Amino acid sequence: MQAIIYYSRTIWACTKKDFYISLTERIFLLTLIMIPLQYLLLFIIFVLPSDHAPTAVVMLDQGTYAKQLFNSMSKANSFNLVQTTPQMAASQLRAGKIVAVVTIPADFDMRVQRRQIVPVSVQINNLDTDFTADIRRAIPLSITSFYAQAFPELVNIVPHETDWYDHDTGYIAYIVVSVFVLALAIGGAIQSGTSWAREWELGTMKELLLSPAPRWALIAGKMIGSFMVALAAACIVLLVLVFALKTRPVHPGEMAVYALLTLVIFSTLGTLIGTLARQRRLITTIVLGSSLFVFFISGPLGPPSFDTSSIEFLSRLTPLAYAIAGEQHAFHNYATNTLGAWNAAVLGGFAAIFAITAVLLLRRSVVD
Amino acid sequence: MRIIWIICKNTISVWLRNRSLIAASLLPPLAFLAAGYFAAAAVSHSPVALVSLDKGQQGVTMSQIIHSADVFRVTDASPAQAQRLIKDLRVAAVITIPADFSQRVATHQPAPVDLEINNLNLDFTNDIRRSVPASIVQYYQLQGPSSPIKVVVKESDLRHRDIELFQYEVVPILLLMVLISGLVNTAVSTAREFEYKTIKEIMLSPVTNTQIVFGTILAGFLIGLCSGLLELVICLIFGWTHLPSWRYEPNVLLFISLTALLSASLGLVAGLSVKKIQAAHAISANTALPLFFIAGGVGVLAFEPGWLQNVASFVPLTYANHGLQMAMYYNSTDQLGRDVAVLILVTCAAIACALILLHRSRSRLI
Repeated sequence: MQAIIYYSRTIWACTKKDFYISLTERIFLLTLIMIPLQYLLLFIIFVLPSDHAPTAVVMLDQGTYAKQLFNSMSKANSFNLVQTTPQMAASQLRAGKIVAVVTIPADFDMRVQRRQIVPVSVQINNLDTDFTADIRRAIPLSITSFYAQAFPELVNIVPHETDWYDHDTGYIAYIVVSVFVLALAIGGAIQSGTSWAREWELGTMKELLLSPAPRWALIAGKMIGSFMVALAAACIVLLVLVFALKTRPVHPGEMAVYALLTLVIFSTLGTLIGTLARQRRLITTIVLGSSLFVFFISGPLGPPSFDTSSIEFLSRLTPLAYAIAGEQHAFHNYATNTLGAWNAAVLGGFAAIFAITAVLLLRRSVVD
Repeated sequence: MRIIWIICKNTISVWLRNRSLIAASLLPPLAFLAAGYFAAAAVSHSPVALVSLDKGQQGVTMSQIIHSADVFRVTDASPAQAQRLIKDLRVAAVITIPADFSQRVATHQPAPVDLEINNLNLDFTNDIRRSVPASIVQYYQLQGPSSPIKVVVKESDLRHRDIELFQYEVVPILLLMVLISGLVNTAVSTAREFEYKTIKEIMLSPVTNTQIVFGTILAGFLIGLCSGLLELVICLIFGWTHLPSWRYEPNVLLFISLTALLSASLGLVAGLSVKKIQAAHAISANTALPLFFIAGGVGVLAFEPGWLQNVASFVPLTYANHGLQMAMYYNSTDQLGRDVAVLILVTCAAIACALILLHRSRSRLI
């Protein structure tokens, strides 16, 4: 009983000390809160224009069929269409303001009626294949839709679509959940890493390790302190997600479990990084520098199994991939890997490995 | 000039000895480069399973078109295998050519191509939704003059070869490298002088504020410029980017240099403002990334919403990005004067700010 009280006191003392120190470093605390919000905003900017390519349409024919083709294009869910003149369209294309110019020729209706070949000119600013490929696929989609409506008896091959889920999820709603996980990871790792590095920088590590307190209690106490600060930053991101972006978890309990697990894992990882780096400046650099790379191989934009085999293999090695899969399920009820509830078990395994490694690394002999 | 050069040499030699600063300069852009590479790979080809139940001529032709379309990663499968693949998340969709497809086409009856999509996000879903009709159009085009689809696409491209998504991202990442190198290094090296109190020695020596400012900026400029050129050379060696025609090569160098100068000046202001290494590092590193994103670092700014373009117009990096892209991708000098003028003006303003801040610090010291 005495031992339990002693360990609890040690853990509580370390937690309290780290928590109070974090509150005194105001610029750093603000940065810690701002980084995840920044990433959230930046990733929204990243995906904002990717669905609809700005496209100019030059309608040299205002006939019924020409208008029907324009309507088909506007319903293709791919373009941000503007009707304009040939000169304006050409100058906008040269200035890089639009992705493509589609010119519907003056004799479009007449040729369609007479069943003659109608060339529709498509000028593409093939600057970025993400947009270029969308245009190259979306124009045929519009033409097929146009024929399916105008001449259903002629074009009998049409796609018949069945969707797995009853509603489509926008790209932003999907990616913000992945960014929420990134925020948890960055917050946990930076806060915990900095707290350990501070002890090394100030030389107080020697006192901690040479004290009679067990190493696991020191680690647990400091981790809880970092965890509390990182949790506060994560809650702010969650509030933005729920209230500003209207992305609400379908399973709130599951969301909380995965969020806490992610924070625990990255707090232990931060302990490892802090022990190895021993400089506060290096922590920010290492965590910020590597987090985006790890994030992109962890399937933030879709299931890792839809990526190349090398990315899929790498994703299996990072806890972020399992955390993203868990949170996507908690928020959208989507399965992005086949592990289901086992994602939590894998995350627990990562946490155990990092914690054991941290305890092993923090030997008294490392203090010289 | 000698004093400026000595201050510059001192700052560079401190930087070279400081591994964490070098890592801070190189790691984020390299991480972005790697992230850009993986992100580009992720958005290119969707994996689909193709179930061809029709062994007739039309079914085989349609199957061949789907295979040869450069939009999918196709796995041929039986219906049961396809169901397993989509359930195990190995494919994003199952395309099924029904058994009576050829017969229905021959008898002019509706012949649907079945498409089962795992519509968990619109990016994948829309890619597949667009790609299947593209294959259908191609199928009809193969029929030549007898094709019922008479509307044909006559495509002309602005440049003779496509620029891949990753290649496109290389230019802004190059600017990010220059920005971070200049901004972080100058801010941290300036803050270090204050934190280690060595600024006292410099200020008590017969050195003017102008010499300190220009010496520090010169060091940041050289570090930024060298980092930028290093990344450019690496990208050229790996074929990730191509130089424009020789007439526009000086523009490339001009914009890299102006960005290096701007970032060093802003870094000096940040360092003089906070005077603490940790804070200088945090502020400069966290300013660089938003500036990079807002200036069109991960997309095409002209295609972004109007409000974002308005915000970006207040970010000087936008003009560097525009100028460099015009030179690299368009072989153009469009709005060159505006871009150069904005970068120079902001740099001058930052230098003036730095002089005022240093003057205040000297007054307090005395």
